Amino acid sequence: MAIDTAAKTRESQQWSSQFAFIISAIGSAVGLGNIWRFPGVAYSNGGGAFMIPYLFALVTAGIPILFLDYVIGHRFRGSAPLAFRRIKSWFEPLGWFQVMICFFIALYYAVILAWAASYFVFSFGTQWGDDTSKFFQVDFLQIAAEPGVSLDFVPGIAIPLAIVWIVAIAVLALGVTRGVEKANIIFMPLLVVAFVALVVRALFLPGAVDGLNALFTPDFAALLEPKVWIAAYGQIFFSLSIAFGIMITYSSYRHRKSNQTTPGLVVAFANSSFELLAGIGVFSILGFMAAGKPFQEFAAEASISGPMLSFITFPKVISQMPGGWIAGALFFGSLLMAGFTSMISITQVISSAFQDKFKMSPLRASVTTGSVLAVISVCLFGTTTSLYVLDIVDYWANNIGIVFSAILMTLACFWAVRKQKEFSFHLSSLSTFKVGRIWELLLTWLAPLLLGYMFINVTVGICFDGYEGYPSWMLMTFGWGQTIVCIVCAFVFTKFRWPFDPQVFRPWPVYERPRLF
Amino acid sequence: MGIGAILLMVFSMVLIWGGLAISSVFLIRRPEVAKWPKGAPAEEAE
Repeated sequence: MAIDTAAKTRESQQWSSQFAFIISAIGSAVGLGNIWRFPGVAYSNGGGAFMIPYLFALVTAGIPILFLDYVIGHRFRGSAPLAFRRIKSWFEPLGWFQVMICFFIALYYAVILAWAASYFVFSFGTQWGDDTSKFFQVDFLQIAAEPGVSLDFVPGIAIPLAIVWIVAIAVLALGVTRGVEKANIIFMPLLVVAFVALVVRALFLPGAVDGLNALFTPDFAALLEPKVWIAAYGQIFFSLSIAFGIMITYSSYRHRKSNQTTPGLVVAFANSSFELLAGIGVFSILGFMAAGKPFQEFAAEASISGPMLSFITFPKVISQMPGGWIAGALFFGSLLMAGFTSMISITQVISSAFQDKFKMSPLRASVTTGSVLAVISVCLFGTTTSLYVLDIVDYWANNIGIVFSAILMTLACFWAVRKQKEFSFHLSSLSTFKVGRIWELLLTWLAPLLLGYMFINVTVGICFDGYEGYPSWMLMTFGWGQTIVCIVCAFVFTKFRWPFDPQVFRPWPVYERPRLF
Repeated sequence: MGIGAILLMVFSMVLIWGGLAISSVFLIRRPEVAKWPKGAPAEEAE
């Protein structure tokens, strides 16, 4: 019988310690969304009152789905396709669907890192000048006047993008223990130090209190609006790196006996802690920039969320700050480190899946998959139309791909094969913090219903209103086209033969289904 | 800064950073699970 190479890989590449796993999982969860998405979402959805639905969403959806990812990876000891295959043979395409989502996210995530790396260098001479919007869109991105696809490469983006890919491939090629783990152990403490220094500096700026006042002043009436609750669930969902294979992959490399739920709580609260810190830092800086102007008026004029916050609004503030280059280096350095640790977790999902299915070494899998990703990424996002394509791919991957994957995952595990008892047995057997009936109910009922509502809401919105005024051929190609490619590739990859029999596997601890009679 | 904003900021900090602190303490006290599940012989562990 062929040797189970996936099991062998997991023996040789386990996380060296619990700490290494936790710091890598935090590195994956803490990404660009924590820094540039959370503060803007909180401000526009009830300010301080947003924290109530946010915390509710963390406890009722974020942490339960995080535990679900952990149990799938840890119990079935494989990358997403292998783990799902071991749950039920016809679930394998769901694993490949998650791998494909990671493929598309990795394509554009790398280019944002390339921008952050360039801006890190620019911040030493505040090279963006006074008109930061013109610098970003015209001088740096050389963005085309009309949305579309071009092959006019911008060397200022394509070259740093290629470098980002080379570094990422090198880290992945070293494997989980020597590559991914080491990178996180180096970058995460650096990120915390750099970001805390930035927040402390921001808190002492004139006007910082006005910014914090704007962020935390509660608008309790907003809690009656469903969109605020959906925004809270969306924020938790996207920022925790759940339901698209990352945590399944990471937990498959853990020791058999490792504690499951308590590290999950640490990861979830650490992610939210960083978001809160980012909210305080970003709004202190924005308060300084508002310079006494009513904050609502200022927020209506300036971009306070997303790439525009980082690459247009922030450079403007940095130019005005005394010793601004230090703040600039800290901010873009933080963005780069937070993004890089997330990017390697995304690409590790793809690399692990190929290692398991095609019997590849980490080196071969990372070079093969990384080269394909790098070429497509440079061709799509190293050009004058990068921003348009990025916007669409990002929106679809997050709002359609990940949400669809999470719905399928909960329906498959909790409705199709009814694994809730086995999964809660696994988690409780191996953890200090036990899960029980509430966890099962949340994932059987609340999660699919909420996610289903989010999915329908977004899909109907796109079908009737389009997205951001982009031409429909672009939405069909990079939006729905992306979803179709994910589904087709999921079935194509499933068709390839495994190098070993994936069903010859005994999950541990052994679970015996209670007999009814 | 308004009283509501201060209260909400403190509330969020206490819950989130407190949650992190408490879960970290639990983890430090019991880093790896030593307790064996009922009926699982030790040799099946690895």
